[in-house]
Amino acid sequence: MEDVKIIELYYERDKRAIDETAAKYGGLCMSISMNILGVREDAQECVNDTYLRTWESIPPHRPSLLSAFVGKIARNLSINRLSRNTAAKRGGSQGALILDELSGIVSGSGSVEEEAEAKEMIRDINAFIGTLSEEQRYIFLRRYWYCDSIGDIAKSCKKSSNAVTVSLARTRGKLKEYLTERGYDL
Amino acid sequence: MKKERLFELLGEADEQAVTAAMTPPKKSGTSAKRLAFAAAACIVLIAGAVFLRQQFNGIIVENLPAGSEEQYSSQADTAVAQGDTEIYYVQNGEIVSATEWLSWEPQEVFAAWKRQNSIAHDVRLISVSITDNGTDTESGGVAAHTAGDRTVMTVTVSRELREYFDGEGGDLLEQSLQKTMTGYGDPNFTPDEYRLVYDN
Repeated sequence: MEDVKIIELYYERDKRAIDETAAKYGGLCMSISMNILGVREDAQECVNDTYLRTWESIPPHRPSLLSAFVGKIARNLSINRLSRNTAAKRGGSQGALILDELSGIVSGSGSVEEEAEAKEMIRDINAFIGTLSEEQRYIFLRRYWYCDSIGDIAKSCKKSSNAVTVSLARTRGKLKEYLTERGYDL
Repeated sequence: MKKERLFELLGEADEQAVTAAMTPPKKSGTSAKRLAFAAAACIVLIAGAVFLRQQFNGIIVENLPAGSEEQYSSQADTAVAQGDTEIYYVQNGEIVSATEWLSWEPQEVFAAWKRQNSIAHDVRLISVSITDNGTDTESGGVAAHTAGDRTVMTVTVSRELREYFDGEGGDLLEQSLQKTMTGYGDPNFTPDEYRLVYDN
């Protein structure tokens, strides 16, 4: 079923909207959640919560890209769960590894808690992503949005794991520089 | 700033860019590179025996009768053929395909199928085997092998995949795996039977 029709079902408060979303994007949500948490039961709960959250969000939202919309919900729910789940953090899930990688960008002391500042930072992050080459952007988003493993990214873009690791390290360095230049307290 | 907060904010990346990243960028490989691949493939084709083994690269080929011990495990010593490969996936309730330039190696093809169908990375391909009903005979100290006329492809996967196949739309997903795994490589070879086995 096309996204537009699924969204119409949400607007009509038709429960089939959830079934259609699960059929079409359940795999995507499960993949993101599993990548972050590495524990199937936890991931399944996050995916179920994703459907509920989507039901609560549409309306009023009318997403233009349903895949990104539900994927983002699954991602956020999984990150929240990861921060509560210290066992998963220790367990070497992709989420835990990604947090380790990101710790090289931030100091851990400053904060970007104000909504306005966060929105500005999101704009700058998107502008930064726009400066990347197609391949760098793909690798960066697969790692930090889809939370894929380095090995999976390497396979998908036919590079060695080492090449992907190097690309990510360079992009993280550039992101840090980009945000620091713009005055963020990282 | 805390790393968890940055992780969250990265989730707000532009939706168009995120959606575009669902498929890998097209290789901007030079035509010279493609020609080199083609030349390598030709060399492999000319070497008839090598060609036969290369079709089953990474696949165990064995005879169906229990008495037949001949096996070819061919990953180590042959060149890996590459080419445009149809990867089938489920979209909007139907099976569609995308063409990717891949090594014709089962793990690589399976990884591409997983990616196209958003299957989590813990799902693994354990093995692919092709068996036939050929027979081995020995007469006067001379062994002979008679090729069979029926081939069976057995794809063994980790049991996590069953959850996907048991779910809604699982039938189509399963069919997409079958079409992908039986469709790549030698266009003249299609197994007579396909079996999916879950690893315990």
